[in-house]
Amino acid sequence: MTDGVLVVGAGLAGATAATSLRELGFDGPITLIGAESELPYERPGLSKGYLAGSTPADALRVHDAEVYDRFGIGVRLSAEAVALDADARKLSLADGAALSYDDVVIATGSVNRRPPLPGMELSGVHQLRTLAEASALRSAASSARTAVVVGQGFVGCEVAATLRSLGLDVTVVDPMPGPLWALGAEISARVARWHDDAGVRLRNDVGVASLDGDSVVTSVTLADGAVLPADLVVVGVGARPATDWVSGVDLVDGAVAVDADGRSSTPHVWAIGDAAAAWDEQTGRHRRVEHFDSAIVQGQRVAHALVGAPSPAGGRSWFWTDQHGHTLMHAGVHGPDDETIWRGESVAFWLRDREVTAVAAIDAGRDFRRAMKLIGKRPAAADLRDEELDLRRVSAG
Amino acid sequence: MTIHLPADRSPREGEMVTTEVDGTIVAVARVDGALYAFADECTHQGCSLSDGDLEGRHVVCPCHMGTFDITTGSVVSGPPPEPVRTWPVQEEA
Repeated sequence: MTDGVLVVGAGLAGATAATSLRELGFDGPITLIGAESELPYERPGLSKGYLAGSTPADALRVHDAEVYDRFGIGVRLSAEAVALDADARKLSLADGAALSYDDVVIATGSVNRRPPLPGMELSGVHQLRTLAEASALRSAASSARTAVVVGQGFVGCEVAATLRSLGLDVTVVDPMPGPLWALGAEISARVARWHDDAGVRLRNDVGVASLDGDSVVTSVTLADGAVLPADLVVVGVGARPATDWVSGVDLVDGAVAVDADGRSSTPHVWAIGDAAAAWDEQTGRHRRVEHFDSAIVQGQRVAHALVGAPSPAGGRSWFWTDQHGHTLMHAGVHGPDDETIWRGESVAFWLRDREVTAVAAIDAGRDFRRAMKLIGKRPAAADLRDEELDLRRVSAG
Repeated sequence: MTIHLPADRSPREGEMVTTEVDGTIVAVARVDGALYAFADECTHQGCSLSDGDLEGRHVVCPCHMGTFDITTGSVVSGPPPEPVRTWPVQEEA
């Protein structure tokens, strides 16, 4: 027990795992390895406050630099993992270094999907995952008048809202019928209204044919032949696990299959965050969750498991998105056939066989917190609809 | 600095009230009979913590569920980057 723990991936999940290990009394070596040149930072602000110019980069840091020194955590930045030899317990880096470990935690996150569109290579076409990419987009936005956002998932919607707040003329294009379509038609319609009210144009039900320009993008041609002028284009069409370098470990759709504590089927190999598909009791399958809260929870859980401490009480995974001054929160997993029950205008419950499978809230964080506790319970539908009834007093059924 | 709170304005068990001290809004909560004072402003985006929920010794921000231990101010979970300020409270008859 001298090689200690390697945490591969210096994002929120990896940084949380590293510091949690020390807080739990682990006294062996801990090394945090990051492919970017930045200390761990939080990504939610990249599409919002940082892009808008209201949040400085320092405010995104997971921990101040001195925390890693104080905790005795070795940090290797600009160091990309290229191979894992689970039998020999060795990790290879792009610079040729080979590091031995007692345990390795895979926390390399996601890489953006890059659609095979003509013109993706043009200058002025952006994707957003890293601080460097956010800086480039922010700089481009300062001299742009028109923007086309390809994709109306979380990143696309948030970037569209922020660019609009900076005064750009913004159009969002997506083959789905509305924004955040995965959350269902009713939530999507509410989000679409925010964009309409702010003057963001949504071009639903249509894909992109090409990004056009000589060396710099100047327009976007849609599948229906429409041409949209564009000083800049942001492509946000989802991400896949950053696990190309991983071998000798069971994967589910590219993510490392792990139990709820981050333990893979390969001894001494663990995985957390976007790179992992953790076993989910609610759905009875491995589920990859690309959200802030689960990165923290999984980082804490793997640290507990590594030191043999009992798992901390697992909070249910949830996420939020901020757009046009509104906050949407969501927890749980609902299927397309689940019944939807609204409590007024602000809280939605999804039910299957009378059991609450998911909840969402719009500008109602306190009710969201209370509603989350009803997931997996069987409350009376009339109680859920009753806005006069405190959600803490709804009978779980 | 100690927060002085008149007994007739102090919160009931499991509840929060706010008071203004030198221009700062301070939340005061009562948990297991004892009073705890903390800045009524989440360190994440400035939302009012007293608009959130008190869960034992934890206060949960209504905006993004940042959770603080009100006895120490430390962050328990969620996005807040730093602890919330706390003060001792003196209840006055």
